[in-house]
Amino acid sequence: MNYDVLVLGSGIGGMESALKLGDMGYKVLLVEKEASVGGKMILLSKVFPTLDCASCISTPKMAATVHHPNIEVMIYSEVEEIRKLPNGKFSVKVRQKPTFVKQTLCTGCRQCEMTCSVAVPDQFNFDMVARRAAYIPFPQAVPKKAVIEREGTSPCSFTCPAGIKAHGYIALVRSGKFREAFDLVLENTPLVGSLGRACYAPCEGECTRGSLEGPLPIRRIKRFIADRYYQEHTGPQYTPPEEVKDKKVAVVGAGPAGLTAAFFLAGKGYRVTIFEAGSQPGGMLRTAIPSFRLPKDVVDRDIKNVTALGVEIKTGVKVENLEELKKSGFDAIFVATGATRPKKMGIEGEELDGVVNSLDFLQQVNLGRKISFEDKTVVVVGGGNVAIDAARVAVRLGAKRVIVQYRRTRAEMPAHDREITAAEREGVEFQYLSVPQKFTGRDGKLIAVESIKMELGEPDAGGRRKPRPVEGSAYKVAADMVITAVGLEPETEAFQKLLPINDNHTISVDPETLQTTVPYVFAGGDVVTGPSMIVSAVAQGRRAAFFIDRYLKGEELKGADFDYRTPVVNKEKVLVRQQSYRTLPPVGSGEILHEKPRGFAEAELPLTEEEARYSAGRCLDCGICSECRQCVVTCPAGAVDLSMREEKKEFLVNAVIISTGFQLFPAQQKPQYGYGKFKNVITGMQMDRLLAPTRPYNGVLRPSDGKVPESIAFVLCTGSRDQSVNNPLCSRVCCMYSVKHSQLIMGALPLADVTVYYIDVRAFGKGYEEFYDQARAMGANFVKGRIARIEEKEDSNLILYYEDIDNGGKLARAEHDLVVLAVGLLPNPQVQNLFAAGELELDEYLFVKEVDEDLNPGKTSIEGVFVAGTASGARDIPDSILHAGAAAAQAAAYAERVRVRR
Amino acid sequence: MSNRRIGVYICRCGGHISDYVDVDRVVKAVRDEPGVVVAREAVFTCSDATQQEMIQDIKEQNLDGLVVASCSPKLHLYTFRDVAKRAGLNPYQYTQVNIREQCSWAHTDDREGATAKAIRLVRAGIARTRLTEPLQPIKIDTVPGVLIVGAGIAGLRAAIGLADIGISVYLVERAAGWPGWARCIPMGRRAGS
Repeated sequence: MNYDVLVLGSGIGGMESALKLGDMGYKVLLVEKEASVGGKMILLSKVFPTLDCASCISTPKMAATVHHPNIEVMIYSEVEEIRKLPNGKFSVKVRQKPTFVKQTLCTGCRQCEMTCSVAVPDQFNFDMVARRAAYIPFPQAVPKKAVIEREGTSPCSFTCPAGIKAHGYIALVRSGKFREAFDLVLENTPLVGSLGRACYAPCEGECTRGSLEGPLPIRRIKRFIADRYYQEHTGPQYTPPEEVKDKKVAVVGAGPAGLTAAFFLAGKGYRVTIFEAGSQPGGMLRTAIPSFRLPKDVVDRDIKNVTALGVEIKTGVKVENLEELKKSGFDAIFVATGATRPKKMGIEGEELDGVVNSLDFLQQVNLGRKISFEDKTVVVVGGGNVAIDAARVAVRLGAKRVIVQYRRTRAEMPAHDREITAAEREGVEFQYLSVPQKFTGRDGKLIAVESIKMELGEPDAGGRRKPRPVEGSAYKVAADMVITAVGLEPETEAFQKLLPINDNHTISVDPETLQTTVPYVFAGGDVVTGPSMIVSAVAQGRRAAFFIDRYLKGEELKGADFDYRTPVVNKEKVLVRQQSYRTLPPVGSGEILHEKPRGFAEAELPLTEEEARYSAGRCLDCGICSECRQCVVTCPAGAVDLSMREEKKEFLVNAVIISTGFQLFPAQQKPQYGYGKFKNVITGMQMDRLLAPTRPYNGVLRPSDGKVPESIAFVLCTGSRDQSVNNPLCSRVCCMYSVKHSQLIMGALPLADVTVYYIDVRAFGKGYEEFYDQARAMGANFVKGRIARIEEKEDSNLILYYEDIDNGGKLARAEHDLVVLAVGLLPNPQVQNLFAAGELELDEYLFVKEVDEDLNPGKTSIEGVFVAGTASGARDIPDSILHAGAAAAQAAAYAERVRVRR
Repeated sequence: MSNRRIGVYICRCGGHISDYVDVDRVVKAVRDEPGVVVAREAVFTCSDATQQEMIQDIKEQNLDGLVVASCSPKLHLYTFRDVAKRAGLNPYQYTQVNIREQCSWAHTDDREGATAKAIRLVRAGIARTRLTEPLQPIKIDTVPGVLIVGAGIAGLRAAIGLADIGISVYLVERAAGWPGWARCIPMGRRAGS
């Protein structure tokens, strides 16, 4: 697409240039980074010196700009590069940020905003109040369409292998929407209750609060969601889909991967049968994880989520011939048989009575066999989670002594730290750097374990330091039981003649699609990855379901868009944005841990509703949008589309106008004024918002306590004419906007005193001096003297120290209950980076340089590029408009000159 | 009775009007006026959302007249004429009623009186609209030329700007020699320029 002129920025200057050019018949492309045109003027209360309503003047201009037949407006877009071509025209690259709302469908009804579960500081109210992640910038926004701000994926949701939207359900719990939270988790897995208890929660390790007082208890919040839902609903509230497909899928193995795959496939309408070798479905959830960590009724209830969709589970059926299974009428097979075979240690005495493997041991306990370890000494060999589970179960069976022998140190232990600590608290002994060499027995029955001490040598290929035996350190422990937990591997021999099997017994698949070399056979979970976490198996089940569906529909598998997530947010940026986060200590771990527990009652207490909501309230909303999907459900127009991606577009234009405006002086840079620290010190822009027709509090109130201020001070030249902050320039508008504020405050709060502290009042324009005189006549008190520093009193009033120039120059102090810093205007020098290095010159203050200010105002160092408004220096509104007109006229002339060139 | 189909929109102007005029009462008072088929209020009639609403009303209700009671025509006459145009209504069948500068702002001490006055102003606007006829602008070929009186620095710069975009300029200066004040200034703002 070609345009005559590109205008960057849609503040009053940009709109003026665009309208002038559009009226003259030139085609204009106007690019605005925010979701509405209007820039800063639309946010002001009134304009000086006429006291006309700023929004009344801006809105018609905004509407005219957007509706102009010759102006194409791109909102929520950023120019990335402007390259001048040899023929004098410009090639422009624009990045259109995704709004996640289809702009043609949005009616501006704000339902999404009202249902949104996230609040962040509202930049259009200069952080005085919050806005939602789904928002319309301000009431008079043009176009009046919602956008959803997604800074990226929150670290918790990004980390989850299964893509469970942790931030989303946290945000929903925070707003008390527990049922919606459950449904959100269900979008990624049917095993809500099991994961809420037994997941090792990689999300918590990534939580940004982790670097403050400690991460959110994300897993326990999920448990709360599941518990709450399951209490209220003994079965799922849905039925199998009405539209049933004629294709059938067999799933081999009813563990987390198989159940998850069956759940998603059945949800799509496939007829799914799960074949489970064991007597009950659930896989490791049922057999390996002890019930004090995961009660089996929770597993049963989770499985109901799957069977309610019409999935049939056949237990006690071991599938060994996949080809036969296919012939019996299935169109696709998903193999998810897990890693079920315990590895042998390969040492003497492993066959003795009293030596068992951990999986058999845990399974028997879980299936209800009565075992007593009363007065016995039990040695557990291994350092994984299964070893710790076995040790903690042994304690609960009454063992006198439970010893875990592990060949490295605690730091290298693969078991989760939380589990190791719990075992320690329950009285399990740990013998680190120890490896059994031999189990000795008498009459075929175990009596002792002979071990040797190890030391750590060089790191091996995997980076872990390799243990090696210390000579002469052998020792012996008398033992009645040995439980070996030295690893598990898949049992895949039966599939060998059909499928390629790796050396470690896992099935070889395409890692993207989980398809094997036999097109109708897919495999996933531990049988592919080797032993891993429940949530990883869930992830594989979900992936398999997605690609099996594509396979059965005859679609291309490779390159399909599965589980797209926006890049993870930068945690540092999150902490800067959420500057006002409070210190919110985490709730206790909720684990009941004591020496020698007996019985299999759940070791961890549930969160109370209060604790759950408090904990969810600690969330920092890292990604801004939590992906809770409430807006998707709520939008009456069906306009929300969270899968939208950014678009890059290229244009050819004949001329460019830069009207990127200014930035306000960041008042924190004058620490002696306490902005950001003292609540009742605000900026002039914030005062403008307090006085605007769309004001946040519907009145002028001070932030600390919402009191109507009685004595308001203005501090002029904050960050202007101040060498200490490197800005010698006068900002030209602060005197007059403070005079304007004074007049408006005296109108709004007739009882308030207004004092303006100034260096000198610069009232140079037509009617400005009269405007200043009028403020004095109304009772504003003008005091000549610069404020040296501000202190806060206990009642949040402020003490101002200043040099009282009119009264002999002595140091004076005054008390006020609200202080307004008249912050100055600073340049926005980033615009330089859009051009080739050194091409766009800036002046010594970093404003865009006007190379011929006297005769050709707006002309920059690049021929064909013009600057309008405050991008080239501080200006008030009428001057900006005038300047924008001048830039437009010159841009038109340049565009005429290069128009016909090729 | 009237066979006209007129839409009437009363603006609150974010409080500028509704703080002093009972806008709901104005709507009630005028909605049964002859010819009125739509009468609504809005927080900002000039906002994009309300403009869209008007366009929708004009199209769906087949309106042949539009009245907006808001601020001075100096601010928004063209805004709403444009709304009419975009909705396919002849822009000259639009009437702007000023109930802000000439009503709410002038009578901030008298809500009753201001409301009564607003009702009368809006009624008058509706009556005027009933009498409107679609007008068509006449197109006349002109010579794209501009007369500039005074060849000082501003006149000269304007002349160049216009000539650059292809418009012929007639520049008239009464003085004989070098015109304007620029010649009296020994140097520009920077020495030597």
